[in-house]
Amino acid sequence: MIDNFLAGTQALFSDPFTIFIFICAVIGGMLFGAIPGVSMLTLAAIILPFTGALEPAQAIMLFAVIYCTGTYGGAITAILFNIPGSAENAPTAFDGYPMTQNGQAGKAVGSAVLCSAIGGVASALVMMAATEPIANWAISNIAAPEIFALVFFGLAVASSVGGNTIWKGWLSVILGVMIGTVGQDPIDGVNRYTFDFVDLAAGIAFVPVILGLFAVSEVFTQAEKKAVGTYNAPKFSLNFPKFAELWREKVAVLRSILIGFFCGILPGIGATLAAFMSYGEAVRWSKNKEEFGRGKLEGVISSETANNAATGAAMIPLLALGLPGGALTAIMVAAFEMHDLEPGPLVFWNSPDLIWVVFAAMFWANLSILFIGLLETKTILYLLKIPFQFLAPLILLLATVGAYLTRGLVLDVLVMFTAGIVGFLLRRSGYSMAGLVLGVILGKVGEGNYARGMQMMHFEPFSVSTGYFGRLAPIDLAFTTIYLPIGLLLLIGGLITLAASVWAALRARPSQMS
Amino acid sequence: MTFRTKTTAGIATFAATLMLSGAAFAAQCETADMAAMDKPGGFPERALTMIVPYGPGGGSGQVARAMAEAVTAVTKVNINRDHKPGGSGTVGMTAYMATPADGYNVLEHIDDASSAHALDSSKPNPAEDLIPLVTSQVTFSQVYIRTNETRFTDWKSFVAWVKAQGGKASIANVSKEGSMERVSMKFITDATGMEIQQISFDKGAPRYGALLGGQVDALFEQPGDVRKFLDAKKFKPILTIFSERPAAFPDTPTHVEEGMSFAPLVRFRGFYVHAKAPADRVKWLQNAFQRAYCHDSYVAYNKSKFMDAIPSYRDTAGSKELITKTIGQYREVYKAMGLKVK
Amino acid sequence: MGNLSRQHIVETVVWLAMAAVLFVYSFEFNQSGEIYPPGPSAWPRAVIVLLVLAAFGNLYFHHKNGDSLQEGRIGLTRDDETLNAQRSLGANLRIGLILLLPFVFALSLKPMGFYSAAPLFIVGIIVLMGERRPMAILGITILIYVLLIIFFLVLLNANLPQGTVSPFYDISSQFLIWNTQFHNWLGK
Repeated sequence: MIDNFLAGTQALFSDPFTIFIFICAVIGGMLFGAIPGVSMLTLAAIILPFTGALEPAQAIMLFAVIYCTGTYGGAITAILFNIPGSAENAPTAFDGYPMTQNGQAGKAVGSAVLCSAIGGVASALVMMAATEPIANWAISNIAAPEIFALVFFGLAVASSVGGNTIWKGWLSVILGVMIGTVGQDPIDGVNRYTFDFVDLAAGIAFVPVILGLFAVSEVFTQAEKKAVGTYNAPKFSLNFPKFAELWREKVAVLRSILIGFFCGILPGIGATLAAFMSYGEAVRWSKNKEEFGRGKLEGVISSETANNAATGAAMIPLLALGLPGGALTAIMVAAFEMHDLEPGPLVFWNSPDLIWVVFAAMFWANLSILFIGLLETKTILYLLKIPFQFLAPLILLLATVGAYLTRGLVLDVLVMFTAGIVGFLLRRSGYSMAGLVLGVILGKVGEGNYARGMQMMHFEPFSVSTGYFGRLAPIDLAFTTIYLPIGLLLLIGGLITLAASVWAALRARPSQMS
Repeated sequence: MTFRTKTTAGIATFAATLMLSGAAFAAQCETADMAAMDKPGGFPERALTMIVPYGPGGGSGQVARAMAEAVTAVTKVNINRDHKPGGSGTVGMTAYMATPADGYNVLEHIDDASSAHALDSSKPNPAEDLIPLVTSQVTFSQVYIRTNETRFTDWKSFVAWVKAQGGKASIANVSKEGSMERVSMKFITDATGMEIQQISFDKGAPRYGALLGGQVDALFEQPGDVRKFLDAKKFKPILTIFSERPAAFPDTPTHVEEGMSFAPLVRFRGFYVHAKAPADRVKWLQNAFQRAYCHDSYVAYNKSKFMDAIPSYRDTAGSKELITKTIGQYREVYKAMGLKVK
Repeated sequence: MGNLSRQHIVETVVWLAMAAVLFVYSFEFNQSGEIYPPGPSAWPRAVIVLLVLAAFGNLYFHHKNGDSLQEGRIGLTRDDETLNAQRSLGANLRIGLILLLPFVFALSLKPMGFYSAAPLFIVGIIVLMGERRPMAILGITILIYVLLIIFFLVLLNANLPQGTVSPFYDISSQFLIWNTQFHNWLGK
């Protein structure tokens, strides 16, 4: 592994043009992550067509680096403007934005820089060690039935994210899954819920939904505050955190890395779930629960460490199974395909050199957040000085371009503004925006794999020979090899999660928190 | 028997047209008019926009890129590719039909546009509502198995094995309703009397991974898409669905040799412009795209995708002939399948 | 009625109505697949059933607990002082227009294209946000517009909507021509 890593690093830094691309990606990811309205997704979607001219390793590396630095960059807008750059930065805003309002923006951003770097580097190390063995094992053991089970488990967990009650969490996720059914069905290609609009046959993509729910709705909310006169301009500050302050949070950092990594492996929801769970655990472990949501540093730290820790982990399902874990990894799939490569277990067999360049790049990109991040942040903090009535049209237009360019469809702009209005109205009603997004992303993956899984199991999922019971995967332990029905276990895990949450909801007591 | 002879003769004629016309057009590549291209009235004075109704990664995205780069190399005019994926190509087609017919907007599309028109004639007919600039890829489908497969080794043993499974055998496919893939599979299962579960994968990687990982027993695909697996001897073709053995696959029997008499459906990709675009501009575009086909970079690209296995090139007239024939073919098939043809 | 308020009832009715409409519409594509017998309508219908169950679960929770939050939830949205603020008719009208304008803008993108629609949109939003100084409106509009053009068109060559009707399409064309000329000039 060390040899491969060194070889990858050498390949990365021996060619001046590759170094140039690396630096551009580091800065571009941070910049787009940190400008409200656009995100790393916008950048990735715009440059995708142009990366065809690059070497495959350069192109894939470019997106991997944007993924790492953009995930950090999204924290900046979450902290400064309450606009998370992506769903995985949403919990960062819970405490980050109140910190800005309290005049502690610099402190929040500074700790986001440090924690993103730590989480990312740790995760890159595990990724390098674990991806290839998992890929080799997965090719003959993980197929549609197992992926569906994984998605089911993911959805069961997703319902616990962000809603006031489990029921609202569920309603949000289910609405998302329902939105995901618009367009052609994954098997026969029959149009569903298109109401005779041709563009709807393309389905509703999750990028405009994310932009609408998080960026546009926040602009609307601020606009409302201006209209009713409760708008407070955020305060500007450059007081970075002291080392001692951060050292006190070491337990939170360690816990968040672990949570981030394990959640990150789940396709479709990885980093988002990681950030929410990590934030939730921080609240649960804390003695002063009521301080959260009012500008507590630990909230920012937990969320940012976890979502960057998930970036490396998210590469595992992408590279080992060909399953994109979110919007950006989905664009990476397209980048692979443009170079006539297919992400998935075969990539290690097709192009091992490329993979190690990418791994090395992700490691160094996470490390570089430390140095470039602080420099860049000082510049971006000046954005706070722009009056909101001038920032608002810029954010809305950037979001328009961002939504449009992913697929070249005006439909996506309409979807984004609709999602913006929905987000604006539902924000305070206790429904979960993150749950809705997860539903859209996972619903589509889930249906296709459910159908294929049923076809593979000849529509007898519980048949002993060919159904879930019969799909045994070998797991090598040090002393012996055991055979486990992975899909069945995931389904059972999902059902238990589901049953437990329904049970809790039925017996629910009102919270003391409000 | 008479019927059968007649159909076979029909296929022979159809195949002959496919091969012959292709050969005749391909010959023009060497003698292509390489004189300086005059710009009619300054056209084009800006970059062209090429609408591609598929994502940048798949076969269409790749051919659009290869062709756009070749056109730029030949003419020094840039082409911006505008990918509008979704709805099996209908979304991009609709968006293209709404653009002004000024010659700046061109379209990439595949045989799906022809089959869509065959099913519903309110959809644009690529041979009439559009002018084909060039058809640059024509290819055939094959059935693949793993090279290390032991349960069967060739088409005959495969069919026998599938029949013995009583419907439990499976083949990976991109099986949208009425698609080339679905119709071809129907032809095959009808002709052989075998019952096989088709598993519809909309993305390539999981489709190939499923065969490699042993999740399915066979794969229906075009050779260019699985070239890497063929070169690495992971997959091998056991059936070519074409009227004769292409030189690149001399050892693989064709469906005709295996006793199936249906006319093969080919996959083709080409470039189009509005039928109402100004004639001088259309002429310039035809010239540019047809010469780009002969450009070294494009030739190399087509070769890497097995697109030289059978003649791929059609000029405007050849493309119209291919499209019209394809529409007729699908219409017959759809009627026979009991689909509502509008 | 337990702790139910009118809002809870309305909420449930909206969910159930949505489920009903989606279910009825699912007959439009209710067919048995040749290779997948459940067909295209099976999955959406299963989701609709879950939607109905969750809607009743939600109603039950409110019936029992009223508006309270459930204990141990993470990532909650906080209450907002804006909700309790005094609202004038003018303020509500302005909010309504701010919600409406982006929609109109999005609808105009197809026929008008980005290049023609964007400046009108910028002016509209700035004015609705309460800015009244003409020079500030003009200056900022030009600044934002030029920044966007330089960034997306000149630098990134992105395919923005060009519009489909004259004269908007011709305006977009002119921008693209200038861009080509500029790049050619740079090339020399």
